Amino acid sequence: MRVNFKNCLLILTAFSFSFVILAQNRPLQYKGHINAGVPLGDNKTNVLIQTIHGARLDTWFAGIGGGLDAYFQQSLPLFLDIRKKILHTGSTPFVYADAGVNFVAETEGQTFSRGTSMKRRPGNYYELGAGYSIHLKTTAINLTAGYSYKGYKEQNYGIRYAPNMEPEENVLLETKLYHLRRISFKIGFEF
Amino acid sequence: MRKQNEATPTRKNPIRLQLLALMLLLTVQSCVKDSFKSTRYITLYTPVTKTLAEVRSEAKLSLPIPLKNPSKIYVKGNYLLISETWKGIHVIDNTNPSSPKNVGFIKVPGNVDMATKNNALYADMNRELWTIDITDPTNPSVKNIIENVFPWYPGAQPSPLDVKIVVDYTVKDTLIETSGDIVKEEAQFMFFDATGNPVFSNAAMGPAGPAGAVYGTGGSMARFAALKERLFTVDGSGLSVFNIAADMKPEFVKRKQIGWLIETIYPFKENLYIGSLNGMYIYDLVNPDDPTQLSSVTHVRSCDPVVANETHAFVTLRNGTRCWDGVNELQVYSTASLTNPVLLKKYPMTSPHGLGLSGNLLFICDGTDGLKVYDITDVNDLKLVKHIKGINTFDVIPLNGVAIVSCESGIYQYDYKDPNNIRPLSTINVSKN
Repeated sequence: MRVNFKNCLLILTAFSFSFVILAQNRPLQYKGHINAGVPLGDNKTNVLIQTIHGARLDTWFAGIGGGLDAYFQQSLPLFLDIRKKILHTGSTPFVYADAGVNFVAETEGQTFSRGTSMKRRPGNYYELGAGYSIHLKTTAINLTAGYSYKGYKEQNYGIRYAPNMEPEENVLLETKLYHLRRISFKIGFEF
Repeated sequence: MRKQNEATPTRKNPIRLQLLALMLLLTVQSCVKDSFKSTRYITLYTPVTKTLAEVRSEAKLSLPIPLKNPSKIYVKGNYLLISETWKGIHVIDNTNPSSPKNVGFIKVPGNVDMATKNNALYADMNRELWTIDITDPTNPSVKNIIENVFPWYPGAQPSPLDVKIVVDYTVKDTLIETSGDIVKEEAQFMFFDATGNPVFSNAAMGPAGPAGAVYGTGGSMARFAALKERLFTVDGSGLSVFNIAADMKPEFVKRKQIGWLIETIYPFKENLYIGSLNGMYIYDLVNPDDPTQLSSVTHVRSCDPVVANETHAFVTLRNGTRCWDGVNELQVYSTASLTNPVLLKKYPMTSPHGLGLSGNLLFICDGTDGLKVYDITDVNDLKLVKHIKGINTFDVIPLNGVAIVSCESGIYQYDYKDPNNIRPLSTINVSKN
């Protein structure tokens, strides 16, 4: 089943607001996450690193994250993160959901002649997964596995030759939408 | 017994786990797919053909049609001739430049260039040179055809007359959508079409010839020029000479190899100034049947129309797809010695195309940066008199106080009798349909 990105983002945003409202009568605690991992997919596996910062309320956490995702096309996803610990114990399984925008690191691609260019535009980013948190006094080690999607748009501009006309430069010749779906495995440090 | 009972579940669990792992793997495999969706924007050109006999029989004045892709402009008395690239020639009654009238269209498929002498209009039709009698421009008639004199035109001379030739194209925009899996990052290759990219406007200026002969006036990006009872045409590498002493019966004299990447020809007095992608050549016409090279100057590879007066030559250099990665500038040469032109000064430009001279005024079509008019009294310090922005200009003919400017959006006319008050007179718009 295809996940609707807009709905996903809407739910996460609504959830974040609810989280803030609920937190008004309860103690909020700052929490930060630094995660590193590998996304496994059709293409050459590469690394991903991310950092998430936000607030914890009981078993809930909401924050904003960013990172470097080097899978296929190096990119910098920026996303909202929501996670929920299943148990009230120190070490516990948890589930999480991310949604945001995938900014491509290299916004212009290489072309080989004048009058041609390639531009890359941001796409969607989301991830759904589960993990296990190993409690270490005030910190924790998190192990996660999730289904991760990132997309981006590539626009190729080139020279259009027409019979009996001057060649026209930098004409949009092709738009390509990339959909990259991976399973990500991460290890993270929560502080 | 108890040990056996205890052992049973431990044998079943691995099987369940394996099944679970297999299901998970299958689920993951179906979800984990990298894919793309591509949309290509394609323009389809379908040729429209007619027999050569039909093409020749239709070379009359037909009803006026809107300008769609004008290129060369040419002034013949009170008439303005505008080439509709590869289709024919618009005839505009320009008796009143403030209110030009589109009176008709001469179908000359494959036409790129033209020049006139007296009442003869010389125009190329694919590989042929047509001589059209325009004594009455509203009633033109083909008087002479010389076959196979422009051999650089793709294909062969159509023969016999029932052979079909391409006269037009129908155009249709379409999309091609594809999708698929991404296996690995795709290498990018660019393929370039080798089809023609016809050169722009042009013509002949600076009438010089036997008394009584009246030559028309064209722009600077011409490949045809008429003077001294001769029609000179340039192609990629050669200069062809036609004897037009008899207006309506030109005779092919010769074609000589003069270099490579030749683009434009500009006649002035006893000389021809020829622009190529690599430089400028000056030829003398002491013997007009056999022009002799006096000098040449080389520059970085760029498109370069040229105009000249008694003392100087003005060359615009432009880069672009066809023009390579050259520069965008105006170069001024001293031609005090035609055998040794000297570069005096360079002025940066945006994307200069055609240019024109009228007295001390130099008009430069600077592409998307509009029309620039300079006072050239001191060539080492050109003064910008007027900068008309907002039009994408190709070529200009300044003549008798009226500058006729060929632009992407139409033909514009400006009154420059008072250089301090250059004002628009009229516009013939290009049809968007």
